[in-house]
Amino acid sequence: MELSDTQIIERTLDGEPEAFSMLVRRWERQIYCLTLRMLGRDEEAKDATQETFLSAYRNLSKFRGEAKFSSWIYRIALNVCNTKLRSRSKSTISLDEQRETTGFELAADTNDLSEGIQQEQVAGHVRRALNGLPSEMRQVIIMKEYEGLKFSEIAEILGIPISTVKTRMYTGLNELRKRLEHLRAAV
Amino acid sequence: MSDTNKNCNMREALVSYLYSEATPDEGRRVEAHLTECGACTQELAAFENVRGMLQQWQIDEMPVVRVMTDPRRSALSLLKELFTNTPIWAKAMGAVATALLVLAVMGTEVSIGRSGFSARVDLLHRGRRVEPASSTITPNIGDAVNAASIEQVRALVNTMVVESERQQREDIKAQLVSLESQLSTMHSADLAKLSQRIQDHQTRLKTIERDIDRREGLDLTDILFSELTSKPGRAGVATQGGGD
Repeated sequence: MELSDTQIIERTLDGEPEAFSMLVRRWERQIYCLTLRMLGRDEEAKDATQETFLSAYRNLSKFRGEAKFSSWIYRIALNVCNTKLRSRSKSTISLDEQRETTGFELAADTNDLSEGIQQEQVAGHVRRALNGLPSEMRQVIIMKEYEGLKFSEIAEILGIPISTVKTRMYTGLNELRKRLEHLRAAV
Repeated sequence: MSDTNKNCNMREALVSYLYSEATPDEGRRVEAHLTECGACTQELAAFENVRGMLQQWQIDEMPVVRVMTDPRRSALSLLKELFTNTPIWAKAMGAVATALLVLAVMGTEVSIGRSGFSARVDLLHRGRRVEPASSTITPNIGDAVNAASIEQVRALVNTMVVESERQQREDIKAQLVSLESQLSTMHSADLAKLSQRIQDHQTRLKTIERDIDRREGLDLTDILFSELTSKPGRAGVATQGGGD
């Protein structure tokens, strides 16, 4: 029978540090995807993922079983991402930088695009548009759209009221709509 | 679009409805509003479109992210590692010490006589050859015998260790002497070989020098002879002692 997050944490704190690797394997993909979408850069996302789990391991004794482990580690990941974002200049990712990290190429003629290339193009627009959003809106949209969290869970992770989460969601979607329309028109 | 419907005050409800998290009452309220408000209907459709585009960005490949923690070792794992890393001689000494301790605390009888050393372990204390000095045996004599046996064993072990060390020293000394002799012999042989080689080389050099001298002499002779025979009349002039 698979162990719950809480059981794994108890084992780790009882002197089985190797048990923590089960938690890592369980959550590393979500955390990596979250950090990648927050930071927009693969190498930074990998660093952020490592930092997140290391921080979680070191502070495991401080984890209270009242909240879910997922909420706790998401919070750590977002803090790590925000720290990294503050340390670099606030600028949108250039198209060249996007090509380097994703291999994304703009098609010269949209009429002859295959489906796969079209999807890549849209993904590139989305990536740029998301990176242009303020961090507080971006993290709400990422957690809702990509992590599938409920508004109440997002509120718990961020430590803000649910109504604030929804307001940020609304404003963020509006901003994205404008940016994506602009990007599509520019092609 | 947001300017036309900002008075609708439906932002949070719209978002809840969009993500299917609206309560039943909230859902009914939104649907009723949408039938009356084109702006909110358009906005909801736009948000659906944005959601569709957001889902186009999927992360398929998960890189290998190595998270190294600092494992705290248990005492058992530390003991295992200690045992693995301990050299064989230390393990052997430990085993010998343990065996001696076990022998010492169990019934052990040791005797050293003209025939040599003998020891007998009597774990169940049966047939113990205890020869009391008199018939008046008290219960303390058994303990005294045990203590004496233990002391004898200790003395015997000490003697054996000293003897073993002395023997080892002598063996090593003999080996060193033998090795030195061998090295000396090898050295002399090598020197002799070198000397012979040098002599051989010298002989060859002398032979080569003689050959060179002989050839040089022949060449000169050839040169002179060829000069004398190549020019007609030259020989007569030469013999007459005249020259050009």
